[in-house]
Amino acid sequence: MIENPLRLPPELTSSPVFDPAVLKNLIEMVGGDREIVNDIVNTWIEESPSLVAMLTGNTDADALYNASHTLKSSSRSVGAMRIGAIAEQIEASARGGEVHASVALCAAALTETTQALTDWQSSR
Amino acid sequence: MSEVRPRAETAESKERPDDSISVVLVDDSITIRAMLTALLRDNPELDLVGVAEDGESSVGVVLDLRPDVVIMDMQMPGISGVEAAGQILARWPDARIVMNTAYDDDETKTLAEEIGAVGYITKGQRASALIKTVLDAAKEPS
Repeated sequence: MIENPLRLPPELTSSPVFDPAVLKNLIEMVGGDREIVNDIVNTWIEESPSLVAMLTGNTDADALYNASHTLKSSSRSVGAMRIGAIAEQIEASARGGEVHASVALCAAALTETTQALTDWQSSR
Repeated sequence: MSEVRPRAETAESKERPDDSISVVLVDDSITIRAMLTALLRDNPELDLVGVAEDGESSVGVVLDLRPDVVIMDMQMPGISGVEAAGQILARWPDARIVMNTAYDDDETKTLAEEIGAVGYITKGQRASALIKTVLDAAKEPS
């Protein structure tokens, strides 16, 4: 469980790490092909660490904004709701706000989310 | 950025009828491209003919392929979707561009209209709404 000692907005840590209903809907949308959805999840698992790495230690506002925006959308598309909420917070703060605490939270959420998605892939 | 190419993005399309609607997809997120590719390829009326991962390359891809509809991510690093759409429309005014965005607000919708987009979809929309917007865009006079 992620702690919140930095007093960030509570929705960042109260959002579910992973909402399996999103992937259930996605399976329906692609004609019941779970393998395609597994493939999309694998893509997120491969793409997201590079996006989080772009956030870490980055002081360029535009780079922070773009990486967090992409991470927000891609995460929510696979049901990774908490990291989506954290990325939204970074996006909102990127131009002029303090983002370091949110970025640290984002890195922690990445590990938790990847495990949740891997568990989902293993469950049949 | 990752060079991985998911199966959903690389798999061959199903056979399409001759009157299918050709689509070019532009998005910087490989996860979003994989998801939209899967959704578009599941619909026999649509034929995904090209994919671009940034605004800069999208201009050349669209002008080369001249698809019936372009799905353009509004917010991308480098040349944004708004700028790319503007460049495409300046050189091909008949392009039918549907803007795809995470923002569902009047300001963004107005911006999409002002640049000449024929449609607007948000990333949280269900597949049926996305497909309908693309089909409706294809009916717009060019």
